[in-house]
Amino acid sequence: MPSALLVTEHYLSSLRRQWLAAAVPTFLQPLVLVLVFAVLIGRTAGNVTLRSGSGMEYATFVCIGIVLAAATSAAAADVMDLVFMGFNPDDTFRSVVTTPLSPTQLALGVAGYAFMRGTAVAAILLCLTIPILGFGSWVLWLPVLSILAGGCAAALAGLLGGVVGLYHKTPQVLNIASRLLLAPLVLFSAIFFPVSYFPPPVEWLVGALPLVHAADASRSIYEGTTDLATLRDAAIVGGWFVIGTVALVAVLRRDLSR
Amino acid sequence: MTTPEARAHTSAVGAPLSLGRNLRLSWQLVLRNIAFQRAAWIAFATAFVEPALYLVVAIYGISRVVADVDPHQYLTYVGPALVAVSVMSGSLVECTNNVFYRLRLGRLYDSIVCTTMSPANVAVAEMLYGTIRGVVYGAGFLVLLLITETLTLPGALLCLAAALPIAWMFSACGLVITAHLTHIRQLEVVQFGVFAMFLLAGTFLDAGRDLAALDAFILVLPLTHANDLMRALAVTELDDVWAPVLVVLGLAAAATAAAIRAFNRELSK
Repeated sequence: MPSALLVTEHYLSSLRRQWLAAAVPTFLQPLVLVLVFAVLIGRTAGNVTLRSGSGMEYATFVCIGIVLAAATSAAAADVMDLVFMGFNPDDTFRSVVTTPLSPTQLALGVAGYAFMRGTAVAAILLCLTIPILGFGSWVLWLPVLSILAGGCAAALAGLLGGVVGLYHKTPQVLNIASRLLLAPLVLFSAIFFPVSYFPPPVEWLVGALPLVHAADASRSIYEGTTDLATLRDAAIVGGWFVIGTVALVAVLRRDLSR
Repeated sequence: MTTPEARAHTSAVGAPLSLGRNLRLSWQLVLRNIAFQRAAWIAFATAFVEPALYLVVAIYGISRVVADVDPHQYLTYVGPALVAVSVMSGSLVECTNNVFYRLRLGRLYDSIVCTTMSPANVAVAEMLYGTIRGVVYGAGFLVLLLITETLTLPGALLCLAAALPIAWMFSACGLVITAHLTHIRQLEVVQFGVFAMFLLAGTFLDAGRDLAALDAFILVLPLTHANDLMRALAVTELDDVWAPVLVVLGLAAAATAAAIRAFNRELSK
């Protein structure tokens, strides 16, 4: 495991060198979403009903969703890029596995990086949105929410990274994968409105998405209405994290053993 | 030695080129782009998906969140604006991302201006291609709105006609911006700007116009006027068309002049 952390450390230090370029899409984009949906639309929108049946102000509902979506997208897009770069232009992954690091350790390192990136983005955005979410109880739910977001992001990043690892050919394919996977994920995951607004078959389908469960759990934690359903949501997010990581390990082991 | 700028209006024997000859030269580059795009048709086709997803989200979600209005009624409001967004996305993707790769990374234009083509021909060609791409996306989205009975046929035809100046405006603006970019990372800032414009220009709701601080800013955004134009045409309210038409055409003309000037400068270095 400490060897896997070397990989995580490498990607974190490279991110540090490009923090300004990374900050624009990571933080400004969600803040514009918060401005439009939570502040502007939130002024006229009423309450929305959560899956638990309790009501929540739309501004709070959408703000928590946007934070989660931003953390997930940032980590997933970043890992897609680095898995693609690791295989294609410079083949760094093959160089890495000529050292004592194994493909499994490499994959765990990448998953760890995704987790940290997701968690950090969620934590920073939560602090930036305190004027909307309120300061009162944030100390309690911030760490839980951050970890949920990070776990969710890492899970998706692992899966998407695996997809790119399987089908990577050109930057265009990367762009398509990013567009076709991330946009529906964010749009259909109860970020902007509850999934109950969809017709029943669609609701059932989107109910399988990890971000839906992360959002539900986070909102319950925020409301202080945690129950068994919250635990189930958290477990599903955790399950996705494991599936994502296992997928990434399998893809890297297969491709780097050739 | 003749600079590319000096070659702009002269033939190989030094005689000035006619407008028709200049346009034919530009068209060659458009044909090259079309041939290249045919090989990458998947990337072209997938750009239709995103606005269609926004449409689904608008029907099922935002219509209920915003004011609990009838989804079909809300769709007639948001649909024409999403046509404008489609046109904008098609034109801007071409004239920012793709042109940046050709201008700075592949250095394609450096080779092109060594032929009889001038930097102005290149700028006009990319503007034409960006306009075609934007109109194709807009037309695709209009078909979707016709299928869902959001628009009537006359309204859709008027919107298709309006897609042309809107695509031209965004293509020209995209070229002006791209000519000033020096690093690939700056494209992310451009994408962020486009995303912010998409959200603030009243695509889903005119909420920002209630706030004095935002109203002035929103009026400066080109997409605001494109949305206004599309919405007026969709319901064939021709009296409301003239102000946005003038803004769109004025901005398109000014940006075209600026783009040609910027390409002359960049490719004459």
